Amino acid sequence: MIINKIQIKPLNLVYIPITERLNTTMFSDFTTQKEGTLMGQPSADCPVFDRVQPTYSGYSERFKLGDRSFNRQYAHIYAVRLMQMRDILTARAKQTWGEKVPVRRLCDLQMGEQCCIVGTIFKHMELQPSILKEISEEHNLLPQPPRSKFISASDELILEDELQRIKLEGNIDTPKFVTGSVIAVFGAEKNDGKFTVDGFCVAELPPQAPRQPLSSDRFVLLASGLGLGGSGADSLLGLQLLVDLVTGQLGDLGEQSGASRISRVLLAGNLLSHSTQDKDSFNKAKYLTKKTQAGSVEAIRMLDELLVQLVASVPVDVMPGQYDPTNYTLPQQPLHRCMFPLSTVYPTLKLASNPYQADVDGVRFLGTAGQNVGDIVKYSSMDDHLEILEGTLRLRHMAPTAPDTLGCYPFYQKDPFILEDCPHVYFSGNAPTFQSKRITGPDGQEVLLVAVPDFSRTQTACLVNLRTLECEPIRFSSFTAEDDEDNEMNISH
Amino acid sequence: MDDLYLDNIDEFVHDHNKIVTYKWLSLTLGVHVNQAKQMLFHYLDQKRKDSSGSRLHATYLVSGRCLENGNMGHKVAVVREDQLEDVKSKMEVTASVHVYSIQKAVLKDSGPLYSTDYDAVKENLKNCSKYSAIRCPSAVPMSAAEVQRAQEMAQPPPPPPPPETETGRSALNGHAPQASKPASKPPKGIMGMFAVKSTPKSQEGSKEVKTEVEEDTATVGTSKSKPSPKSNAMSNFFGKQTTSKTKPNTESSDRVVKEEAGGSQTSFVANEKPSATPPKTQTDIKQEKPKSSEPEVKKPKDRSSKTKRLELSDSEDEKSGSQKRKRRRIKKPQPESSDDEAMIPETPPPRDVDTPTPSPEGQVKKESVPQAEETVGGGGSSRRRRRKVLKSHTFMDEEGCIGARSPRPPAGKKEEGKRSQKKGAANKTSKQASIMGFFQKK
Amino acid sequence: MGPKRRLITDTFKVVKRAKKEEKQDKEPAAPEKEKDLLELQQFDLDWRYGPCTGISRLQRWERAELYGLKPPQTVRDLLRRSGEETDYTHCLWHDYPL
Repeated sequence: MIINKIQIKPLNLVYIPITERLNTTMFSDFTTQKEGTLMGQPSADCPVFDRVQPTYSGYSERFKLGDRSFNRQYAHIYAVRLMQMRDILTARAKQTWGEKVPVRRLCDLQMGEQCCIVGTIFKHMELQPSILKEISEEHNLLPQPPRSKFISASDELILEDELQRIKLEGNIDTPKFVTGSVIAVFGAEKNDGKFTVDGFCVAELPPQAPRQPLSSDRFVLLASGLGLGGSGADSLLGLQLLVDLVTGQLGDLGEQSGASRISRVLLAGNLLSHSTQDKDSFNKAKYLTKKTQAGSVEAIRMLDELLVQLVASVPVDVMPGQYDPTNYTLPQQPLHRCMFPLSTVYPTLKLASNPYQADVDGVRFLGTAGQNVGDIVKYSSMDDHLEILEGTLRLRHMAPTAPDTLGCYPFYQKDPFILEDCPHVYFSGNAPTFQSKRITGPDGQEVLLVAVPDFSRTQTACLVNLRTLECEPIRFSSFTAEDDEDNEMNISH
Repeated sequence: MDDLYLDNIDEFVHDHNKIVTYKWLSLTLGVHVNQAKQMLFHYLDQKRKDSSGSRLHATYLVSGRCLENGNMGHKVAVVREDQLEDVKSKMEVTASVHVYSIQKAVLKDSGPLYSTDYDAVKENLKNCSKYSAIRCPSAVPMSAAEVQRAQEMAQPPPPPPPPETETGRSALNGHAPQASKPASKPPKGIMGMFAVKSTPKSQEGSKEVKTEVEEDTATVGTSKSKPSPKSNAMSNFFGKQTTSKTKPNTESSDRVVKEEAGGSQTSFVANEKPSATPPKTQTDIKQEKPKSSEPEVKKPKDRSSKTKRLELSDSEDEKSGSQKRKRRRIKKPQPESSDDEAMIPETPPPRDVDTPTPSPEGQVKKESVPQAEETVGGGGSSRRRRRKVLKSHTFMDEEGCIGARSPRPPAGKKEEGKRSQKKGAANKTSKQASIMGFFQKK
Repeated sequence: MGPKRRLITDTFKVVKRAKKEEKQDKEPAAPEKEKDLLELQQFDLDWRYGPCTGISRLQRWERAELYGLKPPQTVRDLLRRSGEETDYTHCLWHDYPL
């Protein structure tokens, strides 16, 4: 704990040491008041707490794009993915079905032989939107109603390796799988040319570097979906309360001392609202939209004002998300500094990429703004963000549906979404609700999974305790006229 | 601590009718946030004791551990006084309770609380955590040089950092001269998009207009004297539609070709506000009728006195009267179609806007310009104009009733010859006006 | 006729010889290049090293090396030795657009 004597002169402040209580874990444990209340006469002494200073190192380099060449096809990314994963899965298969299990390539497959094959899943989906289908006039397709999911009972799983593909059937839960996952299946090829699956295995969690034990409790605040530029002033008050809490404005002394333990704020994408992406400029005549300013301009200005309040008090990582003004395809590159004239002068502002990876106090964080999970929701039977998050961790691939249904840069050398080492905190942003869970991998890896809720909808952020790897939601609420009506209703009944 | 703040708060709440939040108070009085909270409480407490505080309404901040959606978590809530106990009782552990705001009215929803703080926070963005209870040693704004270095490391294009402190500013001047501009003038380009508008929401409307006016004056730089009373109309006009800047130019070019049409407009304005006639309109006219410029020059000398002006007005009573009538007539159709409403502000701007273009020509005829300026009030030039006005108005009216309206065709034959042209011009202007009105509505 | 024939054959022979000599000058390079290109094309066609379009042969070779696929060292030597000619640096289909 770094203790500095700070005296802001005109206020005659007194430093109050933060008592270390090692057994407590929850944020509110630090916030419950021990000292005098603020419901009293003004006191001359006002304590000022020092923000904890974590060690920090970013490891997002692999998500940075160097030369941006788009004259490649996506075949490379699938080829590389399989190259990278084959050995891992072969080892995992031998671990699962015995050292002697034959691992075959599809071209060496013998009819009826019980063996293991490693390949990339392709899920054939009738409902998958296809531009070819849309423009084909022969089909005379009626405009399809917008769907939230594109799965159907007729979906088929196909396993592809470098040369061939084979249909899968049997003991495999088709709706749960998504295109792009590399798995190993055990079974045999039948007369009809299909592969009957007895079992399958995934790569499981990658190896994890041990975490240094921390002597004190520190928190990292995760929030996503600030949704600036959207509607609703009360959601803005919630956001302001969040900022005020973190920056030590609101609350009692205990609250403020607790807030000083928030060592970092991580904004996981969708800082701007979807509504800032109005498409007017595309489908309206130029002379009509000439003077209209893009909605994102005002929203970015608001974001800058918000950020400057935060970065003056706490290090902040800003990840872009689906609706933010940067490239659309994953990995999204950091937002440009010139959009933040106020906050960019602070060294505490860090514009990060999406996906994001960094070590905070020796705790490895890895996560996205949620596009990867959202896409799997669309193309699988799974809805639960936490379940999907766990699934991708076990697949060792953050975004299996890229580049099939998720925009992605055409990598050729390396698939950066493959997890090479296991994070301690694995998160995804813009989830409908807050969820978190600790899982333990086969090799004893301990990972905290966090579905970071969309703040504009839930008014909820989450706090990760770096010492205990526990996570709790932190909710901000304000009152609305509707509350009144509710109350009146309750009274009347 | 003296209790002066009680009076302050009282003034804010009662006289200024403000919503006084702890944060606003802290920033306004320059006190620590916690002191501000205590001040609010003390004030409320005292008022309640006096029983004069019954008209006061307060909101509170409550936070603590709370079970929500099956998750034990921390909750921070702003509540009204009547909800306070209810919310507190739902908390497993209460971490903080303090006054959040005091105001005279009952707040239906908490939206105003945000907007109240917003302005105060905006003004203090540079040192927004000055009065907070947490200090972050690493969050020190970088100097311009450091920013530049950091940016060079991160990204090639160097975005100009906003001036932080005075030292920073001076450093900025050394390093990035463009960067210091944002402080005084709205910068251009991407930076401008984000920086220009850093004004509080409430004042945004007016301020924007102001800045735009400034821009206008800058662009119209050649025009020496701008009628101040019109500035409002001007600003309104430009506030609504900046595109008009370009259009009047085309209009003016039209006028150069079809002189009478333009002359009519300017003179029309001159009649409206004879005292405020900008000299440029006169140059306009000279440009239009170079042959008659000499008599004009003489006449103003004659009529430099007010009496003469009166005479002039007398002599042209009928004309002005007819003009008034005409004006009325012009206005009449306006309520009919909404597009015409836009025409009202329409008429003045072209005159002001097209001034810069003819001004160089005015400079060429140096003799005439200063003379005209001397006789700004009701110079002979204005008479000229009036004549033209009549012409113009005749054609303006042509749409309705030409023959009856044109009481005297002084220029006679030529006018008639050009009447068709005028018609065209009139149509053009009216059309343009309607299009502009269209833009205005946007 | 006799002397004419001789003359004709002589000239014919001379011409032929000259042509052969010219060919001989060029040929030492050509077969080698062909051989090299053939080897590179064989490398292109080896599916184990993944798709070959859109990237250079060297990039593909290095990728294969990275994933332990043991691409032939001779290919790399060849690529290093040969210059900037796209015949060498890029795969068989580099002329075809995506």
